[in-house]
Amino acid sequence: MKGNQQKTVLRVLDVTIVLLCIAIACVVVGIVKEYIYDNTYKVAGENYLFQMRDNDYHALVGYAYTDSDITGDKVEYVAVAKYFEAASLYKVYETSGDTQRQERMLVRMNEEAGKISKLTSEKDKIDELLEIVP
Amino acid sequence: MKCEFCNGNLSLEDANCPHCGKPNKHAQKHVQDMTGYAERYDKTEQEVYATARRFSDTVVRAIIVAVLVVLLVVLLIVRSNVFEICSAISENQNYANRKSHIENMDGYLAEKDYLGLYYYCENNEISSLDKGFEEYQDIIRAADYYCLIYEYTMDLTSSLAKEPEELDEPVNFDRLGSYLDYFYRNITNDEYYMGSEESVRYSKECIGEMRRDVDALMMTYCNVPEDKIEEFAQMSEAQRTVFIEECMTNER
Repeated sequence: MKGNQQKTVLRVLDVTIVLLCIAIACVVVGIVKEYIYDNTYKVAGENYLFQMRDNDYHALVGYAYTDSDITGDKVEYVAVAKYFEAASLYKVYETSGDTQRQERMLVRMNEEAGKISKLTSEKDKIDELLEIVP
Repeated sequence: MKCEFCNGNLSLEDANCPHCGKPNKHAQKHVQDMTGYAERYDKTEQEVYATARRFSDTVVRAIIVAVLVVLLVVLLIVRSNVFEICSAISENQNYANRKSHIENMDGYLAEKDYLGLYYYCENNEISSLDKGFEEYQDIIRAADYYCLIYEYTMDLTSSLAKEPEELDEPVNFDRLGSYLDYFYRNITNDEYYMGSEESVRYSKECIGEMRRDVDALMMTYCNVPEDKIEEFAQMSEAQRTVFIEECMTNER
């Protein structure tokens, strides 16, 4: 009788150990996922396209600086973002009369424009929005 | 003891009397008893071992369960504080690498690339409150606001270029007004600057350059007239917000 009770206790303990191991594994996976999420910020290509579709190019600037995975189509999206940033600042430095920085932005605009092939229409829309004369 | 037949001396272990050779009844009984005792002893010994084994198995498992429960609780605490732990780790890493970070930040400041500076700090999780960056806290905070002002200015520019039906929500000038208010109000306040005399001088110099860019940004995209820019910087938050709205919507 006592032996049976002890066997039941052992079985319960075995099951508890297995359940605890599963729970620990789940929590560890959660921690690793959160750590990776916290340390690497990836922006989906659709997000770039969504902002471009709405002509919200300023939102792309933040994506371009913080996205840790700029590969494939995103290379061109980032070029559009960098072109917008350089073009918007070009106009600012034109106003302030800072020719040195204005020149630097022009070089950057040309560099980034060279990386844009499929999205030339976006570059034209940026020029129109910011009233940049090509 | 004595033999019941010949009265000769006997020991309990003698199966037969060494004197008359007759069987020793007590010895037979003794052997029987001893065999019984030995069997009972073996049985008890087995029971004791089995109980002890089960007990030790239970204890070992109970200890494992206790350790796993403690581990699970620790991991749950870690999980609920992953953000804080990551922040603490990156703050310590930033402190250890502060020399190279400061070199890079000075590079952005020399280039007057304030967006680059903001995103450099953002990507490396360098905040104005981090230890080791006290001398740069005013600049980091000003760069935060510079970036927000740039973002909202460009947001308003693109929103106003759209047809009203294309907008998800009405154009809101309040946020830009509030970030501008923080920027203009603080950078002109001496109490904003902290640190040594040398670092305050450096911060004022860098933030002064940032201010010139913000002024130019306002003139370029918010249509603030050049002759009004000083007055614009002195305005209250509400006055400035209304002024921007009027300038941008060409009501002025």
